[in-house]
Amino acid sequence: MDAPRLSPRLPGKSLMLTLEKQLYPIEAVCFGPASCLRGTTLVIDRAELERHLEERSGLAEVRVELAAPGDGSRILNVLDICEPCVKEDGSYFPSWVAPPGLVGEGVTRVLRGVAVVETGEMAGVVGGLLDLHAETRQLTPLADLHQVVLRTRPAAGMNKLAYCRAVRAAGLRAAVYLARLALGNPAPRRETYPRSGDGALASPLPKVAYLCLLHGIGDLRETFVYGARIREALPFLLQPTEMLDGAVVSFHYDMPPGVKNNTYSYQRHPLVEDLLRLHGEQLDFRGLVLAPQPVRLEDKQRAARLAARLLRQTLRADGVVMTKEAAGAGDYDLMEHCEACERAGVKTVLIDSEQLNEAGEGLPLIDLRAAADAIVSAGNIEERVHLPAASRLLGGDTFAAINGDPHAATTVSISYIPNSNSSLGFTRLRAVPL
Amino acid sequence: MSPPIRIVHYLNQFFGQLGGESQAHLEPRLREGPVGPGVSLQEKLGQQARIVATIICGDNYVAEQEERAVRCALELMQACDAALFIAGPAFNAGRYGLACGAMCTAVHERFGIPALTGLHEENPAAEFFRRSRSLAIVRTGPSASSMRQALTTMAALALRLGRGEALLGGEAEGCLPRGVRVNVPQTELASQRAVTMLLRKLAGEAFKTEVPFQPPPLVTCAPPLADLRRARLALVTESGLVPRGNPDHLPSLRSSRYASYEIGREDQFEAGRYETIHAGYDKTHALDNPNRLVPLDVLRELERAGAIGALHDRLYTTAGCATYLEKAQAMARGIAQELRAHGVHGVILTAT
Repeated sequence: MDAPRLSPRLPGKSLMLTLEKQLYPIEAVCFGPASCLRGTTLVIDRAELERHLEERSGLAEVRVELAAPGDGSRILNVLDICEPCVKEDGSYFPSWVAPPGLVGEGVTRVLRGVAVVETGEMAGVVGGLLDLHAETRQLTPLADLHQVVLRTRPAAGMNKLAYCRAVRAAGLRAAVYLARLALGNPAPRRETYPRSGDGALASPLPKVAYLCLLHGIGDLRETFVYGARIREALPFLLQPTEMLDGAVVSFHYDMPPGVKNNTYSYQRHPLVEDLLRLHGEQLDFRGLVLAPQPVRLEDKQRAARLAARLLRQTLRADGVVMTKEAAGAGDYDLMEHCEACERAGVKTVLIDSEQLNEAGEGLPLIDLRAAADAIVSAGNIEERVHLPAASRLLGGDTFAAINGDPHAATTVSISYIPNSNSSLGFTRLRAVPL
Repeated sequence: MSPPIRIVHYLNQFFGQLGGESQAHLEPRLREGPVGPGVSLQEKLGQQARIVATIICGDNYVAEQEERAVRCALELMQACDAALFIAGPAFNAGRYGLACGAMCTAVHERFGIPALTGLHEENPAAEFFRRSRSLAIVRTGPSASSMRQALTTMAALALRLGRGEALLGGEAEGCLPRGVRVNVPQTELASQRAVTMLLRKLAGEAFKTEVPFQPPPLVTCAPPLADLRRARLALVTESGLVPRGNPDHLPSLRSSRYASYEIGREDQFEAGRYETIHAGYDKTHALDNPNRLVPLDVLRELERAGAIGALHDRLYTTAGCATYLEKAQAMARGIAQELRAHGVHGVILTAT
């Protein structure tokens, strides 16, 4: 009888998937008679895309509008944002657009420098504000992107949840539609994750992991992984490349955009990208643990203990960077996980946005414990920022947080600006003591 | 080369060389060009800026009739076409410091130009003006023996302000700490800083958290009630439970207000007659049975059974969602005071 075939035992080695992103840098987006990719110009047949999205989303109307970095546009009622990507089979976002399945390896084609921006208005749906003004570009890294904006109108009788599902479908389908235009064209650039394989782990490097807490407390306040709700999940492992490849999709439609993690920020997660780039050179990236931020205290504590065990016993991590989503109670989750990890012997660095008052006074976090001795600040979400007058409006004619003429120069809470205080670390802002 | 930045400088009677305490009653007056410490300030500023005029006023005059002093100084400044205002430095001189702060604030508001002064951290004016965004306050020593150092810092900041640079103030720029945290763009993303911090922590190297630990304020619990059967209890909640229609328009987020509602005749919170305005949770189950937020139904049973003495006939409520700590503390003090006035011994405090 043959001996059972066993995998080779590789102590201390990870078995990471490899993902190749073929990048098509986009420097201009315009409307034209037929959708195509012409060099670095993305040409969109507006009527065809609008019809495509209306037919597949169930929305009464989808209008496509375009804006470029620095053109002075103001995009109102911003909901989710995503990057146009597609697999070789012409689809993407499993369980949303593509059939259920797994991603994170092989080739993904990406229109780089473009974002699809869902917008919409309905009572109880909280939208954001994205100004493409040179003067305010330091407030969010998303202001440097070309924006394909979807202005949406619900079908008669749609409730909040049905409307958001339809908007969700339109946004993701638009991203796939646009990225498909790259199929058949050679890619000008490519990036491989991880950059070097495990073989490059010459000398012992610090073993580092990433713990990503995902908010999941109810409908419209939830993140999905492969189309599954996070709210009842226990902490689990995900290949880092899966996160960069459309496995994680936001479904947050009633939270200020500055404090939630949009889909674009998972697709381009700067921390995961960096850890994969540095893997084998400056550190040994052991992997990624996802954990829910549930409602009940008992669930939060269980999640923290299980995540710490996965990080220490399964991934053998010496250190972990952890991030959370949403303001308020999320700080409690973060502190529970921080204490659990430090107790288990995993050193922690936390990224968190601060919740001071408008003047920048008060306690920065809702919960702060002595074990959290290494925190990176993603800025104060309550600061108010001045925005200069806009040259044109996209995504609607009115915005709940602006009284009067929505074109005019105004002062708003920074939390309306997507990624202003991204607690995934996708922001350059930091609260500094003065 | 661009024309020099035009500066108006403010001094008190002493530094303005009009005399000591005996001249502290003098009203504001204007001298052309720099006076006293203004002369060495001008040397440090060099060619790029020019002190076009000096306003001198007695300390007592400002202390006794500030409004009039400020109005008079603003009138004197009208014709100066200044791009920048500098007052002092006043070191640890209380009246002089308050005058500098008041003048800077007024000039900034009236002419929209940046204003700068210099104070010692223990000057009463420092506490009063350090949080203001109308002026920058350079940190100086307690006395005029630190004049040279103070003028050097003030001249450097003056040139930056004069060029239209935004100054954040704070310790890094030689200013008094403002005690606030302000969003400032960094060259690296937060995620990059996190990786650097973790690698340093793992290597045992020094690292500096960006959010220092502050122990949260602890609340000491009141001693337990001696006899529940004689106790008068009240219901207090941050769950946002209100009569349907939210008659007092309580905010659902960042609230600084609470309200109280008569519940003396209610056996329970009836679905349909009550709702929740809280912005932080899924309301389905709460709307279905509002007693899930505040257990009036159970407390009535306990009251009837004699397990508790009595239930106070008002519900105190607010929405505790993204509430600032100081607002929560103020609301709590208000509610506690009312409860005390009504002879309440204990509270069932429900949170969501």
